[in-house]
Amino acid sequence: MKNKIEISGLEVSYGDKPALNRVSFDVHENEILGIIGPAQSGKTTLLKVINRTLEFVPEASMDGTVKLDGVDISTIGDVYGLRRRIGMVLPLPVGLPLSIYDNVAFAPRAAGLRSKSQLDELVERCLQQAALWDEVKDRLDTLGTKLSGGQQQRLTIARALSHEPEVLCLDEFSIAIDPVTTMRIEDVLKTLQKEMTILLVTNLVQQAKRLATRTAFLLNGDLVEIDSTDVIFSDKPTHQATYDYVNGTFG
Amino acid sequence: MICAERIQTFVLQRITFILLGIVGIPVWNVLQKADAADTEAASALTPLNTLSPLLNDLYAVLSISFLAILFGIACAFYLQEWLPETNWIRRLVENVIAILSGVPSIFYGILATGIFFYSAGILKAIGVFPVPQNIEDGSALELISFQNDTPVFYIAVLVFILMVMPITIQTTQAALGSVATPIREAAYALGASHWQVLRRQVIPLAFTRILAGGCRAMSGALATAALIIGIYIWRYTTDPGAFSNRFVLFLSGALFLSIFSSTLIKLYASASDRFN
Repeated sequence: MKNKIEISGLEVSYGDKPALNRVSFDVHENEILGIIGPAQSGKTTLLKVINRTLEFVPEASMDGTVKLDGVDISTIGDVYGLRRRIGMVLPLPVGLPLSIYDNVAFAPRAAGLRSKSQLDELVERCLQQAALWDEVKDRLDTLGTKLSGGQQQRLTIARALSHEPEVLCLDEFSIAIDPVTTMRIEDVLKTLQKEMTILLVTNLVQQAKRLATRTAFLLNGDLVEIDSTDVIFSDKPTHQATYDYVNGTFG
Repeated sequence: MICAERIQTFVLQRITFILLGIVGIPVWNVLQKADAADTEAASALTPLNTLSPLLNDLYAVLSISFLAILFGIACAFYLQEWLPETNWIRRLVENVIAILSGVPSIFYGILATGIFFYSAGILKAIGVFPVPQNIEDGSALELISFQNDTPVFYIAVLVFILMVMPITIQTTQAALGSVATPIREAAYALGASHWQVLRRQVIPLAFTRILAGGCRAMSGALATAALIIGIYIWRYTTDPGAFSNRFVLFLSGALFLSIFSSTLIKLYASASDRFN
């Protein structure tokens, strides 16, 4: 199976505080990799490394290599092009202070797409994939920030899909979304899996069980275990900590 | 917006209009008196002649303030967006600005008289000191208008830059800092460049606050300007009537503008809430 992302010896620290210790693993192409682990285990940091937004944290330092399609991302000159190849959904819904339409069309426009008809088509497709189209199709020109929390979260998913990424990183996307809509989006993710690689960071272990092909368990910046989801959620994962965490007897 | 807030806004607006009216009456009186007095002194005086010194003062003040505000905004953008927080230049400039913007405006007036005005001798040495003309014939209003080649003009420029820039830089920096980090991060994650993030996200969000800061800087500076003008007139005029007329004129103009700009600040502040 082809590796989409290869992470080797990744170390990140914020000042003196280590966030990731020598983490190495691969992400296969067209898989959903579930990343689970308690708070402060370095899940979000991992995603920030992949799309190189860690560079905005002044005190962060990084060691090790991350390769996307075999190319070390720190050597990529066009960092904006790199970020367009990676869709990112952040845990708190951030509606950009633009209309719903402009929110979704932001990235394609930044990349240079100007054709109105193409943009219209793209916006509609992305909003439908994020299960938001039916609710907002009559008011695409209202402010994105005026939507409810759950709608804004789906708007960020539509936005992340708008630049047709190769890798989609979802950082606890279902925090503000009701279970029924979550299920709809999960179905969408399953179909998207054919087109892209998905990294799913989640606090809901059941969600990782439902969706992920493989699951990685992070604890205090260490990669405890990465294996196929069936093994992680079975009675016999390699580490006891994994068993305790997924079964809720942790700590 | 709830009902009580509507009423509050309404009342505040009415108070502003009433204050403007109160300012307007002495201005009108002075204009009328000046007109009558000057018709005797000078031969061909129209209301335009009376207004011109006032407009001249305001013109100088406003254009300089405008330039200083633009420069201050540019400076704040550089400090906030391009220099890291730990940079020593940024820390030095921010500290100096914090001190300067905390100085009450009356001290700027004293600074203007104490340092700039009495050092006009230095300006004279380098050949920019003017010789007041027609000091004997009593056409005071004509005499004391703000000429672009007088040292007072340069003094006003220096004082205005000193007064307007720190406040503008401070408020602009605060405005840029108030744009939440998640918004920037979200835009960066979509592949936008630094400039695109600034142009599409940060500037629209911070714009009203930047304008409010500019207005605040201006309304503070106007009060001091009145003092400078007063000193100028006292120094170059022998006619006491001209002093008071001119002073009242400018003071009213300054008051008018500072009320106007504080209304603008209120407007901008409420406009900047629409995204939150």
